[in-house]
Amino acid sequence: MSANDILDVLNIQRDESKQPAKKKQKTAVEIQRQSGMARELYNLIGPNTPPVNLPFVGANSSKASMKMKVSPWTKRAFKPNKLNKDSDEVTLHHWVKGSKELLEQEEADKPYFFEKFNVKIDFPELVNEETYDKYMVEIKEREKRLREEKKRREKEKKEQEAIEKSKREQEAKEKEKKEKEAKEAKESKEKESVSASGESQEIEESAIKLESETSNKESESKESKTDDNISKDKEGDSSKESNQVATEAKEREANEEEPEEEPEDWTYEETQYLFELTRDFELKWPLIYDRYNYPTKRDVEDLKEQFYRICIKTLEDQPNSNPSLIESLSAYSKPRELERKQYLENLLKRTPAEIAEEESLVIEARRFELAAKKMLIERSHLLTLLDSPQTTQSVQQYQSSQGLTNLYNNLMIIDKNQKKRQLQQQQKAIASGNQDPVPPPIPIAASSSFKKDRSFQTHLQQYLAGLLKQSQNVNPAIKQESNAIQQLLAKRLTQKEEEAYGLHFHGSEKLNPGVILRSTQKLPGLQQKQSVLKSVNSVLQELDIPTAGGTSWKPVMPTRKTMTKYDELIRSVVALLDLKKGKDKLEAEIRLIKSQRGLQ
Amino acid sequence: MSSGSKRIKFISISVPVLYGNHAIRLTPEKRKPTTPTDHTHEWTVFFKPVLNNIDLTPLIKKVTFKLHETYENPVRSIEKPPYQVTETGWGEFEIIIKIHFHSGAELGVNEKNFQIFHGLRLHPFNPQHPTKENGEVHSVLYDELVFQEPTERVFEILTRKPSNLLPYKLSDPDKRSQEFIRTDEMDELARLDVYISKVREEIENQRNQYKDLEQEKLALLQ
Repeated sequence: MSANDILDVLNIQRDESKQPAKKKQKTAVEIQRQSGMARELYNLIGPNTPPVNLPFVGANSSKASMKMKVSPWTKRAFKPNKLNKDSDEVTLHHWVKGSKELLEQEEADKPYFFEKFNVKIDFPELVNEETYDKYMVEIKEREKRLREEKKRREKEKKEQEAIEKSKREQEAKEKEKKEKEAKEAKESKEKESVSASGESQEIEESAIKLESETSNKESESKESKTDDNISKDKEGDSSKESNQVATEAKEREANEEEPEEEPEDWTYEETQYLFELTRDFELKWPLIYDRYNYPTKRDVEDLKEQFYRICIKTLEDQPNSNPSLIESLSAYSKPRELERKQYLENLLKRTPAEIAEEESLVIEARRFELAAKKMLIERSHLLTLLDSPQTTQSVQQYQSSQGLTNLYNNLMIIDKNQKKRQLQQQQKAIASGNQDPVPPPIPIAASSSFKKDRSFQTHLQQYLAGLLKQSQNVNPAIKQESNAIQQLLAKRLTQKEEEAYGLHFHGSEKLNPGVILRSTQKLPGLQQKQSVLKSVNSVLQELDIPTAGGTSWKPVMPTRKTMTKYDELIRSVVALLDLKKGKDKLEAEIRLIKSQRGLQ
Repeated sequence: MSSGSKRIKFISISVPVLYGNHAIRLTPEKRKPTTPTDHTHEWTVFFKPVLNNIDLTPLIKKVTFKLHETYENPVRSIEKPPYQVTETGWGEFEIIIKIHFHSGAELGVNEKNFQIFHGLRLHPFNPQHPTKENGEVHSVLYDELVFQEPTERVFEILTRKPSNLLPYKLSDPDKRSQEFIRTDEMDELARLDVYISKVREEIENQRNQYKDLEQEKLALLQ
């Protein structure tokens, strides 16, 4: 609190004209200016708080700029083609920043600023008429030479073929005649080329079988293109042309070359016109073609061809020309270009059905590939399987934990028995001096019935032991309930003793849980029709087997053993009945046959 | 108790039992004032394990004998061994012996009760058995109770003692028609073997005939 405030609170008036108050006011204004805050806000916050925002100078500076002088812009004239002295002097105007005086000073020595964007494609100028004529003659000659060469080669081929044919058979006379006619007349170029294609194919068959004939369209086109390349660029031997497509292309080529000669002679004027257009439209061929307005009708390809070949010639004549440029220029081939266009056109003109078919073919091909892969994998699996040792028994019986314990027990027993036997044999051998023959080993199953070997477990016990283990695994707490089984196992019963308990292990036999009477046990042999059982009884009577007169004869003492025996008996009787039935049938047939023979 | 109710698969336990009836002619001395005058015989129908030392009470709750309807209170229920009913009568009829097992609480699982039909015999029926002067008739049948896939509880009860130990000798030579011994089973087995071999022979015989006939047929067809 200042003294002023106290005075104010105390309502003491003071002389306001005193200096300290004035000073205060001044400083406050200064701070306010510095902080750049609104006065109201500053009054609320006070001078000690740090400024919330940076002091804003814009308002002041804008004011300052307003006072500044406006930068000058000048509308001044310029000539677009300053460098190009030949072009007509058009004067244009545009606005440029800067005062007139300054600009004019600069203007004197500097080129026009945007001049650098005025770029021209660099290609050889058209030569004068004389050289052009010379070039054209040369070109013509070369092309003629090429064509003649081709023809000569074709002729050679034909002759070869003719020789071959005459060698082969006399029957081909007619064909030969035709060919000769064609040769002499040279009118029907198509025929020739067709036969040429035939020849090339033959040659291909006989000489070159390397290049595969794929039915794929794309690959065809590619091949044909490459073939064309070879034939055009290097004028390579046509015997290399393997594909039919290639020969077709050649055919087309031949067809097109022919008419080219007569009507489409390029005059100097026309070429000049072409070069002008090319320059004007900067090698943009579609534009050039569009604007090409000359009496003779030309295709884009024709224009290109003419332009390129003249360019090549001029470049070749220049001392320091770029050989790679010439090469790239000479790579252009009109027939190939035409072909490419046609392919593209065909591609464009495909019907939806065709597209779908193609797609389906592609998918099919992919599927085949997959199938092949799969087959290979399977085959390898099979091979590995074949390599691994084969099991003699099914593994299924050892898949349960019980089965495993059984297996384990069996193995243990076998192991023990073997050891014992070995011991016995050794002892015997020692006693008798290695003279006694070895007694045949007793099979485990047989020995179990009368064995005193208490370590052996019957099937039942094995099973129960497995069961016990299982239940203990499930719940180790239950000892009371499994006691019965444990006690029984502790007794280590023999099979006979088990019988005394009435215990029987059924193996995997299916049982109906519950209590039954032995005499009413459902035996497999008794699952027959009542009529069958009746006839079983009659058969038994026939065989002097006492059936006590009834239809449901059963053993007097139905124990497990007697019932199984009884079952066996019944089943054998049923088998007998079946046999009898078959026999009766056969007898009837024989009788029938006999009666038929008798009638005949 | 849940573990006791589990059935042990692939296992059966059999308990040999006897059932049937004894009958004897009523002598005047034996007649009681209550016996109807037309009753000629006194008979006892029974159901028991072969071995006397076997106790089936942990398994069997009761055995009911259903007598002829003319008897007073025809369904007799016996809850403790010996399971038998003694009556007098004059005619033979079929008695239904029904065995009731204990409920699931004791045996883990409710075993189905089942019935044995026994034709009461008062008169001698087997010519092989010698007729006795006092008109004693014994119609005793052997059978086995087979507990298929017994529960662990039943298994425990039945394996306390060997129940299937049939004696090799008759306890009394006179009781030939009342008892079954191990040798009977052997005899029966031997007999069955004989029958089976007979049938086998016949099968072989028939097969040969069949083959002959087949050849005959072939010969005829050619």
